[in-house]
Amino acid sequence: MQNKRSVTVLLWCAPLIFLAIFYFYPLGSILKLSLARSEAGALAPFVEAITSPSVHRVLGFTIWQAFLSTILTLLLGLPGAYLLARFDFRGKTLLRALTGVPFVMPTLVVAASFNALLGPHGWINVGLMEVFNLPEPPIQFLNSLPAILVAHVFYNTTIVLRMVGDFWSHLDPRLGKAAQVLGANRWQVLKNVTIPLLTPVITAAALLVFIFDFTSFGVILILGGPHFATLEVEIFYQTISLFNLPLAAVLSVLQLGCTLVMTILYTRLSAKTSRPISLQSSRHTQGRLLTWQQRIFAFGVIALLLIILITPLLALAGRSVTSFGVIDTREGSLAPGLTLAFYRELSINRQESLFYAPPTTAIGISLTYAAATVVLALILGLPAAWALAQDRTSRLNRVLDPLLMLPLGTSAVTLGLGFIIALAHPPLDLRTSPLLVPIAHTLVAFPFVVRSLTPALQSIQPSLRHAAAVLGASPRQVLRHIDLPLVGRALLVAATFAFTISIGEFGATSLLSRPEYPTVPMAIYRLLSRPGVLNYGQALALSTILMVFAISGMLAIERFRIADVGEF
Amino acid sequence: MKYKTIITISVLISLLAACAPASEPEPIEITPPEPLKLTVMTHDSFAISEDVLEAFQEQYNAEVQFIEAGDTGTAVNKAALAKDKPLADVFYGVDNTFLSRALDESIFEAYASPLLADIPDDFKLDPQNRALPVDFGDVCLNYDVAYFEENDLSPPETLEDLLKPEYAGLLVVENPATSSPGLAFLFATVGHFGPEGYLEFWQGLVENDLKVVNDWETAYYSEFSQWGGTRPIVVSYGSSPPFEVIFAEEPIDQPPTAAVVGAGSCFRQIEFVGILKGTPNRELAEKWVDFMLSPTFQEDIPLQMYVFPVNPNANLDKTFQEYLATPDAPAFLSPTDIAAHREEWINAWTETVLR
Amino acid sequence: MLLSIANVHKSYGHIHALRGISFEVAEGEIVTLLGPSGCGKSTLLGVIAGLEEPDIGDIYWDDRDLRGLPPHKRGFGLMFQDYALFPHKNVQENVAFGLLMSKWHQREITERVDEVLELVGLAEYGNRAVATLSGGEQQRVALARSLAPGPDLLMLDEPLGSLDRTLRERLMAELRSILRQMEQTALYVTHDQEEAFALADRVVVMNQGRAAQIGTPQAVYQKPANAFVANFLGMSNIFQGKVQDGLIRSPIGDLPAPDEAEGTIMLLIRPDIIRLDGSGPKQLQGRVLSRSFRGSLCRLEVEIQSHSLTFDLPSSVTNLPRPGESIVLDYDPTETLQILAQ
Repeated sequence: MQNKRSVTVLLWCAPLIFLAIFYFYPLGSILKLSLARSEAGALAPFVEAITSPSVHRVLGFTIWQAFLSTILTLLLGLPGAYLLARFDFRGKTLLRALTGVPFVMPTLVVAASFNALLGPHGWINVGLMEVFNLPEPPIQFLNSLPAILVAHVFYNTTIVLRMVGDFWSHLDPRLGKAAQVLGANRWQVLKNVTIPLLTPVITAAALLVFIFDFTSFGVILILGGPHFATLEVEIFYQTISLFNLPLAAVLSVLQLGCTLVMTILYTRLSAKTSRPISLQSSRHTQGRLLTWQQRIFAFGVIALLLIILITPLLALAGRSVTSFGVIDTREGSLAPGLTLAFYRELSINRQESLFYAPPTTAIGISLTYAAATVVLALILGLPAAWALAQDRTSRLNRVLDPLLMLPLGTSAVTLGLGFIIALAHPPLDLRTSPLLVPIAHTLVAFPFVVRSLTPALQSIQPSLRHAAAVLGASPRQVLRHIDLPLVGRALLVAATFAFTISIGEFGATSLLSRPEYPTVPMAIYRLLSRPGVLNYGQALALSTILMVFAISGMLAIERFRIADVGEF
Repeated sequence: MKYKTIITISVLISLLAACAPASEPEPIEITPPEPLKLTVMTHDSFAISEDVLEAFQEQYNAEVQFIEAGDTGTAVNKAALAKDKPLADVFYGVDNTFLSRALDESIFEAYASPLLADIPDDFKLDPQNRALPVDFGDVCLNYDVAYFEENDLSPPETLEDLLKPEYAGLLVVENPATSSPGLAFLFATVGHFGPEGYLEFWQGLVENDLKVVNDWETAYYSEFSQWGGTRPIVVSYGSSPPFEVIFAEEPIDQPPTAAVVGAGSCFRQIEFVGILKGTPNRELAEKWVDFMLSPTFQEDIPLQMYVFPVNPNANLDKTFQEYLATPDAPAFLSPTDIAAHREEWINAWTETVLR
Repeated sequence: MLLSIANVHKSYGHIHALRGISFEVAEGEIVTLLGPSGCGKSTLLGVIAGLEEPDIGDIYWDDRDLRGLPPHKRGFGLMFQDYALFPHKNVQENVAFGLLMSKWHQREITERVDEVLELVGLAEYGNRAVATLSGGEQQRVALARSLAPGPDLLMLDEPLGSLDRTLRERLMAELRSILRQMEQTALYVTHDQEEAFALADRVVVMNQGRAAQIGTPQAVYQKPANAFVANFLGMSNIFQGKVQDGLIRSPIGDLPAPDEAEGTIMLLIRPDIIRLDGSGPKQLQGRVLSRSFRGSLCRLEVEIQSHSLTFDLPSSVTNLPRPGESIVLDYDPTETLQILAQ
């Protein structure tokens, strides 16, 4: 027992040192410095925040929109999870992969996608204006609460699909049959058997979705418009526009506190729902779509998922190959003027700019950062996952597990400024180093990596290691022939997560990157912020290329998933 | 199954391998002796031509490294927070709306560049020459030329025009709290109507069905009627019309948009460069500042950064000479006023317009 | 003796899994460890395999002290209860694993794998994924895998545990013939006495971490050493009695005492050595409580002196009384009555 505990402690060393240096230290430094700038003492900004009605309003709205978004996400996600858990049908892998794509897309691209679909000039409005001969676009979608909610559903449905769907697919359907034999009808089975069994995982998924919605930034700023502000937006505003660092620090602390409470709840619940994988289970739990009710249900759910999660991205891809001149409704023309001009333009350095990056270079840079993130996240994530797999319920693990997720609830602006003041002295003077980008990406990817690996590590039955040892394998050979190959696929899933997260990350990158190494999202942002249709078109084209990468990554995750490992 | 896995892995690996070399920075030709290193911190809109930079590096046997520090506000904050141990030797990108913050945090060392002599005094907002003007851009209303032609409406010429009933529901502006052109336009109204009168103007705009969005991208590419939105008047830059010509999908000879340049309707953003306090490379940093004020760099500015040189000796591209509208008399606010009232104005604006 | 276990103790915290067990295994011998779950059988295998270190006690193989020797250097084979097949390797790779570890040449490995797969009747299964195999097939792969390297000692942990009865009986027979054919020294753990008796040269009955009895299957069955063994073998007619004047005073009446018996004794009335033909020499009288048909045997529950005893009679006996009827059981005290160790 003592031995096992010291192993756990040892495994935690590297991940904790990393978090201490690159998360807690910078965060602590910026908070300390910010509060020290308060002229009326460090307590004053807390008092200011507590008594300020605008802070109350922001906090209230943050919770309210997160709550609504979470409910809507569950409404779409749960039927989808049921479909994925209980039925086997052609194209299921592709469906799972596609539904995961939104999760890794930068907000800029998502905003452009929704604009291409539902903006005043989006496909739907243009179509409706054309068909009904309307003078004005009938749908006002951008800059509204529905835009925020739809965007959150768009982003987070995949969490519910994956967490609940995977768990559900391992629930023995015989439990339900047993209840039926005992006289329960379908609804009673659902109410008395299925739902109670699923409650922990549904709650865990809902909490995770809530955390993401609670800390939402880009969606609120770009799609929500000026009438809405979450804590994260307010932190950004107080920091950048007003340079009111003390208040920004208090808001950051408030947001961190809320996130910590939710991550503690989340990790408790997900520890409860983790289970060893069974290699054959999905064969027993999944059937074909047999009855017409089942087919209608499946069709409806798939259609809904595709409409909400995929059409915005398709609209963007469509817009990137459409000439802007010809879809101008004032000239009454909807003829699809297909063009590859924007893609061609991407590889022309018209201004001979030093920072011009042809798409291949931006992709190359993104891939390099992503590769570095993968290596770093795996090196740190593997021991942490190993430690968690030893015993999820040990006191040490119960304390450390939620801490890993804290970076998800931390404002990128706050942490970015934290890096500037904390990492200023040798040997850690990394402020101008390109290494900061993969380090920041690793902080984001870390919880995903740990959560993909832990169940796989837990699932290795000790008897497999024993069997290998008895057959003559030395401990090193056991590691090589048994542990690594068995965790290998989970490692690949974790790696792909880290990879796709890094490829799509924008917030932290924009604060830390070097202009001569622009990532794809950075390049998109540069193009998007300039007037001229050729620039906008190029931004769409590059976004489409990024999307293709995200889809490939998600398909790779599906490919390597071994009997539904992973918690999200 | 197994083979597919292997293939997928090897494809991934070879992708990674193939891309790794692409990310290496272009090796810069180095002539011995060892070049001097200069670090320049900039906002995220900074850009420069390769050959222009090359000219500087060759002339001074220097190697320039750029650090991108986010948008203007973020960059200034970073510079302020890092002042004990500066991130770079030179910081370019603070504009007149953030200048006071930079000066109050005393991040710069004064440097009276000899080239300042060429530059009009209007641009020199810091008498101590800690921050030296490099470029300017006017934030102006842009309108959709075709819309006004088709509807037989004359485009607005002044801010006051926007209150007329015929312009109801035509304007989209950016939120000054989140957008730099939005803030500049707010300052234009404050400068034009005075701190007492600007809110009344905005109240009038609200009554005239004003639309507010958070960022320039949404205003310009989603709401502006030129790109399919419903609003034919947008807050953008005086330079936007010529860029519509330069970056047109098909070559065109007339910009589809135009800027309103009537008295006091625009706000001039001036961007500055300064030597960061405590630099060990003061000499080279001075050379860099001189270089940024010299015609070579100044002529490179418009097409790289979409703003305009402060040095009148710099020649402008033909398209700009033809289509760039220069405001008759841009609204003016002193950086000190801006620093003192920024929060107050924004909050009052928010109360009036958004609530 | 090849394997010798002496006074081995192993405990986990407060749980004492092994409490001084001792026994030996000779070359080519098949020994079964028989006992209820939790008696320490699997722990003992772990200790012998080197997966667990004993707290105290000696383990010798061919006079070599095995303590401290890691499992991969012991050259033993262990077939796990859950088979522990490597899910990421196919049948052939699973079987080849041990050979690979002992650095066989590729050609020899292929030959050997084919040979053992043939032996267990899975010649065509080499390329199958283990997850696609049925329980019986997995069991054979696990056996093939543990046999392939030719272990000095093969240990099998409840290898037939989770299989259905017919499959079990067939595989039991196959297993026996395979082990005999290879003259494999084997240690076989089971809780099923049929399995134990069918396979073993000698049986070690285990109880609470100790050997309750060691002997040939016949010896153990015919002469259970103590109440635990008798009970475990399904002989439940056990009573305490006192020997007085050549008689055993027991709750079901006075019974003739064997010569050597004296004092307070534990008496087993064997359920299987009993007749109904009135041939004596001694008789027990009672009333039938229930009668259940068990194939070749018929089990009677009989009330004698308000105690319930069970007896197994051949089903071929024609005049079996029905429940409620009285019955007279004939027995020979020297065969039917056994004195158990306390």
